[in-house]
Amino acid sequence: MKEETISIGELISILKRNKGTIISLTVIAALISFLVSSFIIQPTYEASTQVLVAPKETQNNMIDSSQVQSSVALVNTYRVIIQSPTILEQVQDNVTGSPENISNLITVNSEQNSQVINIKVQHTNPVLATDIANEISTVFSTEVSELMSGVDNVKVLSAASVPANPVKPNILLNTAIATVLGAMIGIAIAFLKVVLDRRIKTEQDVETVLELPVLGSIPVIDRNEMRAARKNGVEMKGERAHV
Amino acid sequence: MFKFGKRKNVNTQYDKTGRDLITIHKPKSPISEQYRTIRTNLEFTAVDDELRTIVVTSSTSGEGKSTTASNLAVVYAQQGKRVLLMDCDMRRPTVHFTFRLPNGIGVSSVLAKKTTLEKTVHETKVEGLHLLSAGPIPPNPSELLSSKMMTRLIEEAKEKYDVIILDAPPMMQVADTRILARDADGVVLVVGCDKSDRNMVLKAKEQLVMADAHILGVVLNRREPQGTDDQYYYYAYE
Repeated sequence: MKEETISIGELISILKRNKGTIISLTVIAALISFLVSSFIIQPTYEASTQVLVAPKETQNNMIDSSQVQSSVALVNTYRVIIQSPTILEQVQDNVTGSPENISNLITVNSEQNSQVINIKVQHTNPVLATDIANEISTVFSTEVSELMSGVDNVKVLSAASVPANPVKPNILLNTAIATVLGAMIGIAIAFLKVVLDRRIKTEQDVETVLELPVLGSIPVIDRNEMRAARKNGVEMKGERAHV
Repeated sequence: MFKFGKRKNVNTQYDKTGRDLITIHKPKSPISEQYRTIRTNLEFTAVDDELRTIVVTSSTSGEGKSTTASNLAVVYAQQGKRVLLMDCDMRRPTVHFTFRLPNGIGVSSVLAKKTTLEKTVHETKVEGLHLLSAGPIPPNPSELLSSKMMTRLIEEAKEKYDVIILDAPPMMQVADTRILARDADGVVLVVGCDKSDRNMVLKAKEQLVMADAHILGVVLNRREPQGTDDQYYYYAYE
């Protein structure tokens, strides 16, 4: 097939012709996304708590940089311990109504070179999320010394409080994404329609496809105008005007 | 709001309201001017051979054959020529609706030797334009059209008329047009804008070439009006 080139003017005219499709698809996608995010998806709440890994106070009350370093090094180990079944099973037993597999709800992270570990718990029930978060931090801080054979350097830095607003779904973001997606699909459909359209549209089409001369091209005859013309009794040639 | 694939096509159905004779009702409109352009172009395509019998066809139905044939016949008549418009679409005759004339007898009756050309033609309201309607729908249009009577009918018509325009059935459905095209001096292929599939039109063209027909050219029908070109200057002329 011959390569076809499309000018910018044609691009704009394609978009203009299909603006109904594009706009309606955009609006519908945005609307569906908005409705689904605000009414169908259950909101998820996030409770977070922070645990500080600090070296134990020494006798002379001096904080030594090597101790800080070792704490930082421990953070990574602790992160794994928090998510280990040893801790989580205990949390599960302690929190009433906690789901079977709480490890899916938990994200544990820490900044680089930081002694603080963030524990985040996401759940559709904000109170439960808070309870689990707090239980993790307390269980962990008590268990860790046992696990690490007497190392007692974990403190709960801040307890989780019941979150007021859900973190998921982000209605605005979802709607924005759907709007863009809807518009893109609409535009894609518009262009696809043009590309797949095998109908003859212009005199150039006739000349390139059929290689036949165009004798003439007749615009659409406006039926209403024709009806009016007939009614007005435009005199036909050869017909006598009757009074 | 939605136009996925669905497109309104007012004229695709076999309606009995007749076709628009814009060349009669609005002889000064640019559309009528286009028909005159087609007439002029046809005159130029046939410099050496005489172009007297013209078949008007299209690949599929509803592309505007009858409208084109009728209006073309009118502009030829307006030029002062003696014109015979023959409705050779014996399966779906429409031309008599357009000119509001009876169809009791017509081409099929003449071919069946039930009557003669002279007795069958109708005078139309356009001076110089005579119409031979299709007549009763016969069971075997292709055979009738390929009979010797058809050749004889065209010969006879040529003696009386300057131009004979044959409104033929669509190419893709029946063989009638290929038969007609063989006898005629030339074929005008009507292509419905935004309607004809290129493959269909190409096939129609191939069939015509195989039938040894002389393809005069294409009439692009029902083109979307293109702003200034059509509308504005249209009103200026009225």
